[in-house]
Amino acid sequence: MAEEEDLSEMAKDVERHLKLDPPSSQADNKSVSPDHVLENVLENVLKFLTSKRDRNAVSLVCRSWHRVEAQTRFDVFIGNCYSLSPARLTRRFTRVKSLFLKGKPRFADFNLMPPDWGAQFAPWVAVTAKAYPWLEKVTLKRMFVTDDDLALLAASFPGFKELVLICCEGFGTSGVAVVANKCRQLKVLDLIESEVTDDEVDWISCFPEGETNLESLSFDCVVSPINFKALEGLVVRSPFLKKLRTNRFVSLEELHLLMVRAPQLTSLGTGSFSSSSSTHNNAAQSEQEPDYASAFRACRSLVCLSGFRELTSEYLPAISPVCANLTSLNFSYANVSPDVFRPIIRNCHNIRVFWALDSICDEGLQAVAETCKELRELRIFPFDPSEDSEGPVSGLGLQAISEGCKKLESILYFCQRMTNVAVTAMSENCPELTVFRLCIMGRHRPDHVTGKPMDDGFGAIVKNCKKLTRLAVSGLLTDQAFSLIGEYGKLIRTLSVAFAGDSDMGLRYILEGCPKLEKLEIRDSPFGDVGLRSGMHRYNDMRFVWMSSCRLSRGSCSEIARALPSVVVEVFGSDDDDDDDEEDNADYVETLYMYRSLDGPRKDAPKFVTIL
Amino acid sequence: MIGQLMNLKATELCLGLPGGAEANENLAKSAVGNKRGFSETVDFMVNLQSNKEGAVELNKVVSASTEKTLLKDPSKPPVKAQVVGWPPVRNYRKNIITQQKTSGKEEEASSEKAGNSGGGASGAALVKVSMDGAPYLRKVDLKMYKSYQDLSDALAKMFSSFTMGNYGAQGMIDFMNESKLMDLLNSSEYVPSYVDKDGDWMLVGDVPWEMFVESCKRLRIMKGSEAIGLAPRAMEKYCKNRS
Repeated sequence: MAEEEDLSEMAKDVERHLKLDPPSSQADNKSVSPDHVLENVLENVLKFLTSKRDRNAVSLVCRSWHRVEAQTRFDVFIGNCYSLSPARLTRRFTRVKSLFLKGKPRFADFNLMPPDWGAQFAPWVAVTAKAYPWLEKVTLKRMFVTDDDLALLAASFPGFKELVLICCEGFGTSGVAVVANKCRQLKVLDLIESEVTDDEVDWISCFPEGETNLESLSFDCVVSPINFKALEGLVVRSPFLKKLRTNRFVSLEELHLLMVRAPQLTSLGTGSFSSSSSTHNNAAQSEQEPDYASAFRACRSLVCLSGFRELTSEYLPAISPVCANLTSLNFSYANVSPDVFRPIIRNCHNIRVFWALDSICDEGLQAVAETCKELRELRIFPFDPSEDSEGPVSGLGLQAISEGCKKLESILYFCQRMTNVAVTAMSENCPELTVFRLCIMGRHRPDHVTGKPMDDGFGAIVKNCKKLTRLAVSGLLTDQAFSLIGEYGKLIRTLSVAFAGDSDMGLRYILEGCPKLEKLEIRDSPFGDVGLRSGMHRYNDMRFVWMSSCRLSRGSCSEIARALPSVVVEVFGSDDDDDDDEEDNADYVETLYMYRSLDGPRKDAPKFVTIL
Repeated sequence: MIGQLMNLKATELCLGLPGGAEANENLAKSAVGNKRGFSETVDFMVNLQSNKEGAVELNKVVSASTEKTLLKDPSKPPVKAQVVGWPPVRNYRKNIITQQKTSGKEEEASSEKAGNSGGGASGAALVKVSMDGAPYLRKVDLKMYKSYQDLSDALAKMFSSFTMGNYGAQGMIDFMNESKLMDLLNSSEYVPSYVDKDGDWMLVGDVPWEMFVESCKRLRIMKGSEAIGLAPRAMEKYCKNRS
């Protein structure tokens, strides 16, 4: 329906522009030449094009299209902040309203990268402050953002509306306070899994007086207490607020107050979900205990629930009134047992996204499989993230999910033991899978029933899941597994490998296969120089390659750097001291991180990083 | 060459991991009950040498040895070894869960705060260990050990010619007795020292174990004769701390 409307709009625009002067976008040229008209038409057509892939394709047609596309691109996504300089961004795209920047590669989340490696937001905010004063939205993932950067942002963009910081660090509550205070048009302030230092600033009180435009406020990752009265006041004067994710310093009683004030919420992060009155007299308390269930019932639009940071399970049934409406449920910080979990999930027929800890066990997963027929995304995290933990979920749970949730598209599953049979079952039952990430926590663990490698299971995944774009492997895997991945993983864009493979052939299979591979991250696998060299023809077309604790030598990394001038080749160790004691291993490469870049090696690399 | 592999001393220059062979054998023996054959050790060492892996973390040496252990005998439980960043769960998540495990209502743990350092993983106290004369470094996680004795055993495995001298009860040095201290320094070939929070080089064993874990930033195993230079400073600080 929307498409038809768009087309008729377009037709009207075309008509209009054929009669009138060109709009001010072509300010330097007032003539109505045929070329100009075509460009205007194109501009109006391209405004409807939002997919980045489509836009990239359009920009390659010819110079004219390149120019028009650049002028109509309002949303820019940069998957690697070092792939180009801020200056290049502003030269090409002149009308950017929204910027999404990604910094460090994912393995940095697991302490595999020394701190202070880079990915600073500072140069970007400095340049965009001048080039895009109309900037409205900034999303950053794995970037280093300082309080000064946030202050500059708040000062430079008067119409600023949305700030989303995912897995970022380097700033504190004082930076957040500045944004809250100065960005008067702010609609979205989402701090997601970021490290926010406690500067002991009451940032909630820094939001200006009067009605706000806030639609989304997420601060569940902020590990410092907040001024609850101020939060309550903020919620009361934010009539457009739809998403509120509180941190664990908000108790159940306080949550109740918030819910009563904001029954229009669609997404709620429940904070601690435990009563703050545990130190009080229990008898006195039970008389005054708020009716949590009715507060939930009053939130008729609630579709997304998360939080439960310190769950006291006796209160969990309070969420029952909303279960049937929920499309997204995140229990991944709540250590719920199957007995507590099952009665709750039984009502959640519409769940599409479900995150939980493995404490729900295979039985819990069975319950999910029986009820959640609309499930699209499942993530099961380990309550005890160590290699020798008990592992309450296994292939049984995985297989049950595959049999019950046929529409599954994305899965992340941590377990201690797995079988090829279960993985194969999932490959056969869930043809819509685009993301399959299985983490068998014990390194090199074979199929625990047959003792064989996990090759067959992962092989089945790549063979049967024809839409697979992201794959993470684990367990005992031979080169055969990689041969299958290379051969059948036709659409795979991201591949994650750890403690797997036998030899360079494994890496060769991947690099000589997997035609769409863009992001390759490998750790602790026996892949060396021969394997690395075999991908020479690929690296210009990939976003990045990460290889740590493999068998690479400096020589071959230098070779790549020389042969491919548009690829930046960084090598570094896992810590940031430059010790004199480590001279002997000068040839061994602990970590290789290489990525394509339009503007050559970065100037801000710290001492411990060597750019070849 | 076989003899060399078997009798490598930490102070001998070589490409491989001198302490590695013994460490692997010890671990292998304890985990698999002598099932692991010598040939596997040789394979392992040859692989390592051909890759010129010098200063590899102990963790990885151990993990490599457990790899072999697991392959040959998957039914035996693997030797517990700390591998950086594995399983791949973000610190953010680990910290929250750890915090829940210890106590629900505690003050926020300092581990939750800006954990920018490489040792940001909750609970890990990774410090570098070097030994005078050895061409490589190791890293240890002090939180994996419960006492000076544990640490001493681990260091002994890592650097085979090192043994901790007589540290008395609970592994602490008796600083009050100067002659005893001098005996210690003269008798043992090597003595462990560490850099504390203030940046000073101290003798290991001057404070209770838990305090040591908190304040130790780096370990260095030095010849006793060199450590003598540290002793007066260490004694002074010890006395200052005591008073």
